[in-house]
Amino acid sequence: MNDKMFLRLIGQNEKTQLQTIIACNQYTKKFGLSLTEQDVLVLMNDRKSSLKEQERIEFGEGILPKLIFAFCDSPYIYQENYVDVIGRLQDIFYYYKNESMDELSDDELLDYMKELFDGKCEGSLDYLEETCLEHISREIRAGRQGFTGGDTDEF
Amino acid sequence: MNFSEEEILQLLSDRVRKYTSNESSSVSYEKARQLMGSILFCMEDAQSCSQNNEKKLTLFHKKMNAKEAFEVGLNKKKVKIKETQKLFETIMKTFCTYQNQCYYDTIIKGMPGFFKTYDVEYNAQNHILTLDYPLITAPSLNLKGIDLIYEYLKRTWIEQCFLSSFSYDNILDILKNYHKKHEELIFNICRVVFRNAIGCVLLDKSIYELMIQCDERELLKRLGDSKNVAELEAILIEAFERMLNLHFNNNQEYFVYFLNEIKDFAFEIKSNAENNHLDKIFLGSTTVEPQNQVIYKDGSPMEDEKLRELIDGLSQIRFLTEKLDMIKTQVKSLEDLKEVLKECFFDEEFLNVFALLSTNEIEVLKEEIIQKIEYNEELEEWEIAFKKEMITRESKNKEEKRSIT
Repeated sequence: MNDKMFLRLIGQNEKTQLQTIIACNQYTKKFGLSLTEQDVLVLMNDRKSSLKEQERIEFGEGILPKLIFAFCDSPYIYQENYVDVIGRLQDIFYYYKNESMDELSDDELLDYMKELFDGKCEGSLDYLEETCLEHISREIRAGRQGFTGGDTDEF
Repeated sequence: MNFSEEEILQLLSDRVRKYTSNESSSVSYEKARQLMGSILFCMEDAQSCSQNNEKKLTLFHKKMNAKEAFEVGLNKKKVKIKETQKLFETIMKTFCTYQNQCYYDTIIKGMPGFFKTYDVEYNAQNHILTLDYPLITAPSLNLKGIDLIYEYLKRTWIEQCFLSSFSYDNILDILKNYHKKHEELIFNICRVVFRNAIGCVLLDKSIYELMIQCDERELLKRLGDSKNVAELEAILIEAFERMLNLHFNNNQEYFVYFLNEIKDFAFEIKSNAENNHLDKIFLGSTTVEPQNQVIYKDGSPMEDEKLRELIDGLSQIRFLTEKLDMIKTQVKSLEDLKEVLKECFFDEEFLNVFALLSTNEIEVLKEEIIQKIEYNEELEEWEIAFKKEMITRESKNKEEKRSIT
């Protein structure tokens, strides 16, 4: 099984994915956020390269809709930085899936990210990526308990 | 059985979802490869099953889809795990390691671990164990997962059955002759026993004795010298058949299993006969080497600081007698003595220190220096002096002996 074959699957259903993400606008509108088709295509391209970089393969609709729903109510995201932040969060998400050795489920990792982003990081993506999540994933790799569904006060 | 890539990828997508309990939308390439490998491994089994089994042929003609083929294959693997477990239990009832550590590790320690951790659902192609103990005829390299383990155990069972025909003590005697530390070696025990048994058949003696004496080995050498490899092979096959007829009820399973061994065996007899080393394959009690190893227990070395103080002290003393007195009273181990020799003594002084050594200590130092020379390591000054001294002592001894005679 070569990598090309895997990547073909990633490329499947792009249209459906695009529609799903555009449909998220209905919900995010109340927070003053929306994505154009062009934005979605940029994000989907980011996703492809991010997956490739992190050597991961994704099935189904992908993480973007979940990411959008989780972060749209953040006080640190507004229309001007929406696409950039979601794109960056997507990269961080895949990176930390690997770093946490897949020990965290998608929802758990998203919860951590959201809580830290709105809380301790105060909207700083660098602090989220380089300090807070790094600490969590190090703890997970060391086999310490308490990182699945727990609170993040100590960070 | 051919399936489209899309069909297989859809199956992979289902398996990934099941593997992650639908909690993760993505997996690493490595994990996806593992899952895909597992799917293909199971599907291979469905294919062979539909080709071999008439009942399944109908299912095959109905054109199984990828998912069905995978399910059939997976179920077949699960049945095979049960069969393998049964076979393992049967083997364990009478299993004997003949004191071999590798055999113990592979079967007694490794196999239960395999059954505990083998993941037929998501990693069926991974047999986990390295199966270090070598068999006479190793299973095909194409085998993987439970198929490999089953085949390995089946062959182990044949070897164990063969070995159980001989007395445990006789086998151990043979193994001791094979190597002093046979317990630690990674080698096939059955091969050693089989070869000696065939040797016994060639000598027209009971195979259960196993041991081949020195004079008997001479007869085998004559045989090896007079025939070429092909002739030897024919003779060995004939002897093997005779052995099976007489002692193993013409067991065809043994015949097929050991037949591959005969070719190598014939070749080895020929080359060992030419080099006069038949004692390496036809083992017997007379090949035991006399044990002249020196048993020496060194005293405990002093702490680094104390040793440094002693060396400093010795360097400041002018008179040799005082130096020797200090060594006598303070140095309790050869390790320390070597350090002192290196730092505080020169030229003629060495001989005076060597005079203080006991015979055992001299033997130990001699062995170490010989090893250093063998490995082309540079000798210290005192070691060169020691070597010279030993040569002169030996030549003196020889002269004395000559004068006595």
